[in-house]
Amino acid sequence: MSVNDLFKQDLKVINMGLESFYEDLTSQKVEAIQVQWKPAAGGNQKMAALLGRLKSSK
Amino acid sequence: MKVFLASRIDRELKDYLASLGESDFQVHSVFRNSINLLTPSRMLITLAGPGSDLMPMGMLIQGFSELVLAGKNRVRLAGTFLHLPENQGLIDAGQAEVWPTNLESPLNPNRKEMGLALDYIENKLLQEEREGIASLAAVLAAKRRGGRTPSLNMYASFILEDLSLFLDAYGEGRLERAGQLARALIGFGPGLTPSCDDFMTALLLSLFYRTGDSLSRDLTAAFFETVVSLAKEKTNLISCQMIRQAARGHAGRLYLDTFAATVRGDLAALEPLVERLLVYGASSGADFLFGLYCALSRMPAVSTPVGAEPLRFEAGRGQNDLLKKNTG
Amino acid sequence: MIKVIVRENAYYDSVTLMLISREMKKLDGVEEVLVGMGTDLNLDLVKMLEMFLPELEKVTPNDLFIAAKFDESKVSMDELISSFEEQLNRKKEAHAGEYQPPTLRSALNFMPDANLVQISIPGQYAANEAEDALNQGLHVMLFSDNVPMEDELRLKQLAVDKGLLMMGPDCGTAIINGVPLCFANVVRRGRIGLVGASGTGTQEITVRIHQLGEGMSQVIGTGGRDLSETIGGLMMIQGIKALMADPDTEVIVLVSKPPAPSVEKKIYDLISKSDKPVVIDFIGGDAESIRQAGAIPCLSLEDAARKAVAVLRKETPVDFDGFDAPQEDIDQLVKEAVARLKPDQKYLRAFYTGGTLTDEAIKYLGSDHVIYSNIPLTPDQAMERMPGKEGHLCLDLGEDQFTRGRPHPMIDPLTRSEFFDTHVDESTALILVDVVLGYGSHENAAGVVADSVAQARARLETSGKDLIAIASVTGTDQDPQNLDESIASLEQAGITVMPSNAQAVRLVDLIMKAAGI
Repeated sequence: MSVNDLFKQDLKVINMGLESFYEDLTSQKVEAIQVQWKPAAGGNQKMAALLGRLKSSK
Repeated sequence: MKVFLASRIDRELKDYLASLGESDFQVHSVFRNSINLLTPSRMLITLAGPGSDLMPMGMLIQGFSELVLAGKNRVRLAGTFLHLPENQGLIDAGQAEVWPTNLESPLNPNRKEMGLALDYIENKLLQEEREGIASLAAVLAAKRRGGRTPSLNMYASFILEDLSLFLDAYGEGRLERAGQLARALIGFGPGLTPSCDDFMTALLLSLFYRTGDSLSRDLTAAFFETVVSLAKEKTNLISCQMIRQAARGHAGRLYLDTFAATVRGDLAALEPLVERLLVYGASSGADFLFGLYCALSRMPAVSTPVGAEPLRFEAGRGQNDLLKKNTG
Repeated sequence: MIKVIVRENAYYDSVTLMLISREMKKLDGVEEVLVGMGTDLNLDLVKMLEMFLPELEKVTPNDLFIAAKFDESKVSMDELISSFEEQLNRKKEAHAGEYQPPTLRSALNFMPDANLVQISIPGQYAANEAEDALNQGLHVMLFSDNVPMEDELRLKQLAVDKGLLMMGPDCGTAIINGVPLCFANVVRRGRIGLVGASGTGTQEITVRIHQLGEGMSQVIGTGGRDLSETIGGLMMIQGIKALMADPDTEVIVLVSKPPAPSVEKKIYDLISKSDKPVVIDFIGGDAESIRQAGAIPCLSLEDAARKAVAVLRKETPVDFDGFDAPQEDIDQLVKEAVARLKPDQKYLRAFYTGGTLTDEAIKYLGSDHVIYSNIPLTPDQAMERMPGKEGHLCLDLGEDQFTRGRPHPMIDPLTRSEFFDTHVDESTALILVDVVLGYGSHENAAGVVADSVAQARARLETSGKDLIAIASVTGTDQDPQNLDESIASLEQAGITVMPSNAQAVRLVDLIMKAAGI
């Protein structure tokens, strides 16, 4: 979708990070969804490595 | 007139509404992100916003946050439309995308990978203390690996003995006995859906979709019946509906997808679901995960997943002793 | 003492129930609290804890109960009940049941028609997520900073290939289709479009345009490094093209620090083809080359707003370097201010939360005064070079050196308050501050700085001295903070509130010159 197409649409936002930005949007009745973002495997190095292996083998 | 479009609907709800044609529903409970309607046959229909988890007998509605409904309000069903009170307009359920809230095909568990998934879940449950009964995962781990039994919150302490008796019976395939022991679990714990009910939901899903075990269909059907009738008697309507649905393989998509990813041993899919579950409700998500972990790692009469020894609680001392020791 | 509260047929989500239990347990004198649905087994637990009372006999699984054991001498029943009621009413905080997908892909499953992703996660992870979003065909607003330059270049090239917006990294302000993103003010929709590389500069211009009665079609942010040699102005050019093609935009405004020469040329080449008027504030940049490119140069952010409005209304844009108020009022203001100062009060303390607003102040004041700063005009005016406390100081408190490990002062204005304690003393003559309102900013930004000024003034009063304090408010009557109340709280603290940052700075300059400091 080009920038000028975006200008013609209702803004629908995926917010990743500060939840206050998400709340600002919903308080204005802008359709938004908050991503419960966390670094891979919650920062657990061993599990992250395991997940990385599994993902790359698929 | 304002028309709220339903964007997604549970297949069974769609069929149910079609079978009713016309009816009156009463608003049963109102939460920030969902509203339950009570049908004349005492079923709950769950309305929620487009970003929410689709529940059995649920639909997701665009502009949900603008709906103003309060207890005892009535909503009138006519065809695929729900007429809202006080000239708020109507909900059009006719154009919604139809989704199932059950799994459409049997799962082929990969025992080895499921073992890894269960290890992952255990690992996550052990990382921090939980409000509900999921902290019992630490007791399991201590039994298996040795080491000290951790201190428990009072809910976990209270239920430890009964839960261990129940899981022993379940693990040995004595479902009739397990059904009797479930009386000591259903309705117990903090939260709108008490902890043990979320736990039981996971266990019911595991039994419903089990493959390759030697339990008779009659035995599991009888167990389901017992648990459902206990739920009707001993827990609230919202929790009871969750249990009733799980006994027939239905659950909210988050629970269902987590269950499927665990059985398939799909860690890549599982990881974000688990992260999501651990912050779901107050402790509901963690209690569900704990149930999944117990149910799948002790699946009656099936070979043990690689990497996990059979897990057993030992029915320990009386509850009072434990309580004094752990919450004193 | 044991007390039980029962709510029949009351359903609250689990998070609310947990909060009730947690908050009540925090009260001094409360020994145990059980909150739950009235199931048999939950009541068994109550019995075992010896907290069962006859009121619980009739409770059903569909009722909510709270049983509390507490020491009456320390906490009253009323306090317990009000704590309970307070938690029940705090539904806003209860997020139970609201689906928050864990990844961008799962979010897209739930909102397949999403068109923009707003990212504010730690910088080291941000580029990957932004790239993923662009590959999914989504426009990106990247608030995070600490994203490497090479990642920025790669992301913006990808965005240009796909015809998408890649606003940022370190982009704080945009208004797309009338929706303020991150730090932005609520301004009416209108016919002026803006591309900005500087956040508070963009805020100041859009606010002044709103005050002049016009509005914004689109406000596109680029992030502060876009006009560098390396990035080559990729997003500013993308933004200008979009505004040139946008039928709702009649005038285009550009705001940035002066671009790298090669980038400047690209921009001038592009705008010389524009049939829409272009107003440019490259703060402190060369006006003549702007004029040669057929665009309109500006003296300040406010001047940019006034010129954009003028050309929109088919009026001739004229330089504005004065005041809204009549000159004699300003003269009077200056005279009274100078009269309030003692001879040993000699120095300016300007504490800014907005980066571009600081920049504007330093460039204006720096032409006639030596202004020490963390973003100095020349290296010898670096704040470390200031001889003790003797010298004029103008600080951008939003810079990294002041925000490491703490929130930006626009979010938490208390970080500015500390500078009043450490940097304002008996030799201080003048205080200059900005107050930035709008989404993202603190709910009471004005009140906090008013308190700081009042306290500083009280301290100086003990030695018979007074302070001159001047502020401007970057905010509109539609911002979530109340503009009138914000201005009133500043004025109550004896702060002179000017209509723009440029006018506040000019007033400070006049007072400094009149006082000979």
